[in-house]
Amino acid sequence: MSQIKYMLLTSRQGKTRLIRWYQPFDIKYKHKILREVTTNVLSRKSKMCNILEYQDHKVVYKKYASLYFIAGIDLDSDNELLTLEIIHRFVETMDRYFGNVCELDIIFNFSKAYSILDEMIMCDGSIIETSKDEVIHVVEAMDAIESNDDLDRVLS
Amino acid sequence: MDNHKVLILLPESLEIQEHIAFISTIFQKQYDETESIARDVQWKTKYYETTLDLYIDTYDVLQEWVNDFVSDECKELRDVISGIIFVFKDEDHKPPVECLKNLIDERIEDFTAKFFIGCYFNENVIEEDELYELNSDLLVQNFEIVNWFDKPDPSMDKVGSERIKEIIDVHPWLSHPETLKKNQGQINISPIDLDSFMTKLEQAKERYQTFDDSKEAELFIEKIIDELSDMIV
Repeated sequence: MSQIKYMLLTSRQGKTRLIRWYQPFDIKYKHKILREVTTNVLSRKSKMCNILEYQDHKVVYKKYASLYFIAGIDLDSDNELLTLEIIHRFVETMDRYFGNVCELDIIFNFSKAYSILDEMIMCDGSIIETSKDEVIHVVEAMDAIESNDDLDRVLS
Repeated sequence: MDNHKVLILLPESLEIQEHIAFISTIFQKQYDETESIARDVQWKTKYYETTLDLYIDTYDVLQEWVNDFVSDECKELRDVISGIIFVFKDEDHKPPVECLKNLIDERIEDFTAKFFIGCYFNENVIEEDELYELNSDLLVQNFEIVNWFDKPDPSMDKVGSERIKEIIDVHPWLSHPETLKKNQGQINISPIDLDSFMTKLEQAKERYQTFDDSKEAELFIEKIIDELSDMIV
């Protein structure tokens, strides 16, 4: 069972677009991870391995267009390839939701990106949903509720 | 609200047609080579639109241009620009990159709020691995080198002019009222408009209550929200 420690989404320019922590870290350590992991990953060449060891855990990352999806996983119990697959699922789901997702989509709809991620990964870092259809269905249902609320507000 | 200002620095060794092609490709603007300032250039993305003023300058010897640019007379310009696009085509790309890196580091205040693009306008492009290394060193300065003549690669990375556009797209423009809620604060509904707006609302309310199928109702809601927003914005 995969239990992710954190998930980061960073741009090629080193700007963090999404962060989700699945384990308690103190603020100092969070900053350290952000700074060091991002720098490490961004400096890696395209043909280098997508898995690296960092302190007491492993970092698995994958680059899609201008975005780096980075996940911190346990050194012994987690599976790197499964983590890469989870990242890929997340990207594919966003791709389907936004229609060819790009950095700008995430900047302007970060709450939607978080909703998609939260549907796939539980607050303790374990995977709860792998079906893209199911995730999209739930997120679209949320959108419909929001639209109804908007209309109700206007009509009232 | 003033337009955002972007400085474009081109080498004199570049043909005039290349100047025009460069600016037209990125900004989709018919550029007149006699202009040193191209005003009111529209920059549109999926989510916002803004207006830019392009300040276009050329250099013969880069270091001389830098010396002028760091002078006190240019302080106002340095402060007001949102980003700089440097174009260079020297066979050895290292000296101009180093020169520009020092310029950003030492003489541009608050460089983290601006974007800096170094466009390598040479068909002998900088190798991918070297470009990675170079860009990772320039990360702190918010400075990125882009090969103009790079060919699209399978990693879906945007290259050349597309990457330059992408950097401009994701730049956090300070205060852009044109973002999303266009013309916010200028909503001015005349009494007649308000009447028709209220009538439409009432009709929508009545119609909405007649729907049994939730999907159909959802579609209707979306359509009505769009129509009503168009009426007031």
